[in-house]
Amino acid sequence: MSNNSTEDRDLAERCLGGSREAWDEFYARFTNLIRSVVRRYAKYRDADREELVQNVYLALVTALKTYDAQYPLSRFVCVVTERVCTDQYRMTHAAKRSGKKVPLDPYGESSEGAEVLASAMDDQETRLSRSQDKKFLSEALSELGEKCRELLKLRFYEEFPLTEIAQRWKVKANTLAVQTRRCLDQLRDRYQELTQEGPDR
Amino acid sequence: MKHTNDPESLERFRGLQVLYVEDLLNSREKSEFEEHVRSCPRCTREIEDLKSWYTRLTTDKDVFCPEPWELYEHIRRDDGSKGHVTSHGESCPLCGEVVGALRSSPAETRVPDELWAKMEPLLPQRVPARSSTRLALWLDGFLQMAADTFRSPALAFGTVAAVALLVVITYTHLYRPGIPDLIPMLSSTPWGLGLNMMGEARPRLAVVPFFRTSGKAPNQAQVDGLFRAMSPPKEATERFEIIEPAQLKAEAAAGTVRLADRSDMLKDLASNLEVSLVALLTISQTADGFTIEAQLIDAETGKVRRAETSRTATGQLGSGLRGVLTSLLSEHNPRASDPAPR
Repeated sequence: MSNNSTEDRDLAERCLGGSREAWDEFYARFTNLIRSVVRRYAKYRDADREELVQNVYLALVTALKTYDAQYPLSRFVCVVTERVCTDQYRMTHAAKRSGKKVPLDPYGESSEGAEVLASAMDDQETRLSRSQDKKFLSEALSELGEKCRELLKLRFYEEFPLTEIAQRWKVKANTLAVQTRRCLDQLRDRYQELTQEGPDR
Repeated sequence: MKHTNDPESLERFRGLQVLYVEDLLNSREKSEFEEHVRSCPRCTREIEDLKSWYTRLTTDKDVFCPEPWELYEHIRRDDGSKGHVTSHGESCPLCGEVVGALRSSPAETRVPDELWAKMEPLLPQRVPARSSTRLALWLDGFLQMAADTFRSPALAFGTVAAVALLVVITYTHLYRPGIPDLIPMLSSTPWGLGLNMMGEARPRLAVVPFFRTSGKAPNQAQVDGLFRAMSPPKEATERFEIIEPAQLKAEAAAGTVRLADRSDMLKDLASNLEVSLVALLTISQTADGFTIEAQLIDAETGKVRRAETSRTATGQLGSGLRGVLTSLLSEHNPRASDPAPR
């Protein structure tokens, strides 16, 4: 077990023990990360985003006992943050159909301004839905073999022409075209599986 | 330019689809390819799908970005390692924003009080609750010690075995078979048994009713009423020399007849009151009345000569007791099977 994972486990245990000092340390370490994930997931107003960050902490208090110390604590924090964002998205989505107002704070009284009219959240919904979709795609990509991942990254992220990649890899363009097609097929198949399984798999 | 249905041909053709989308076919190849696609719905569909993936992957470049937690761990380690996160993070403008945010110092270094007030009640174990009293601390320590101790299966098994042995020894030494859940019913109600004018020696008999405590025990007035109701019939008094209830009550009060234990009771009745037979009546309350278990017991040996059970409705316990007692004594023939009068 590395020093980092020992440190993570120790912090999680102290937090579960109810120590305010431990939670202060947790807060100092992970709040920027939580904010980054929330920002990446959906574009909220600052006040709403902070409300969501609070909800993440309330969710962490109860979820922390399920933390598996063989993974980094930061990964666990991100998973919980994404779940809170997804739950918020669902609440908003359900409320939009009924035209109700949705408090962003499901654990306590909603402060003024934190309540948003659901019907005005189309942009956020689209962004959240797209964000979830991208997450599936990102996951499908990460599950590809290393060679496929590298090929797709060179071609689509760095936008090298196929012929240049072929020269660099010392293969014929025709061969690389077949290989690209094969990688894209694998990506599409895995992506479709993940979207069918949904975020709660 | 056509494909057949064998897998190799299909795969080669799908490679051509990529070259077509990439615009890497020469003009002859391209026109041949387009001519085939016009007559092949499958190829048309596949090329559309391929184009949509090209658009998507070049648009959503952040799907190639590491997860925020990977960036966080990379920054945290900061050991100069050159993994895929490093190479990506150095050049990716999309990750730059996240990296910048993660590198910045946190605005707050403490959980805001308002948030802490909401978090605290949700905490599974709270420090103040664990150390609030000395008893709680001792209990915590004891439980921890027990948990530590019983991590060893051999020690746990040994302890359980020792406790079980201790229970058996204690039970053997202290337990004496008796009638602990029964309370004796004693009364001064006279049965008017009088003297035996026949002059014939008869076995002495004591009638001892008990009430099982699972139900509501009767008060003294009710007990006296029951004794009046179960006054033995003349036939029984001719066969047995029955001890008056008042005498038994007086002996019990004096401690010469101990009723808390069955064997003590039989022994005391035999030795102190020269009783040969005991009519033991046990009354239990049921949902719709009472059950009476009657036993005629040899006081010397403890042997049950006769036993019968009767049920009676609520409000008819007195007559029920008399009926059972009459039956118990009348069907018994003391001259034939009972021990000799003392």
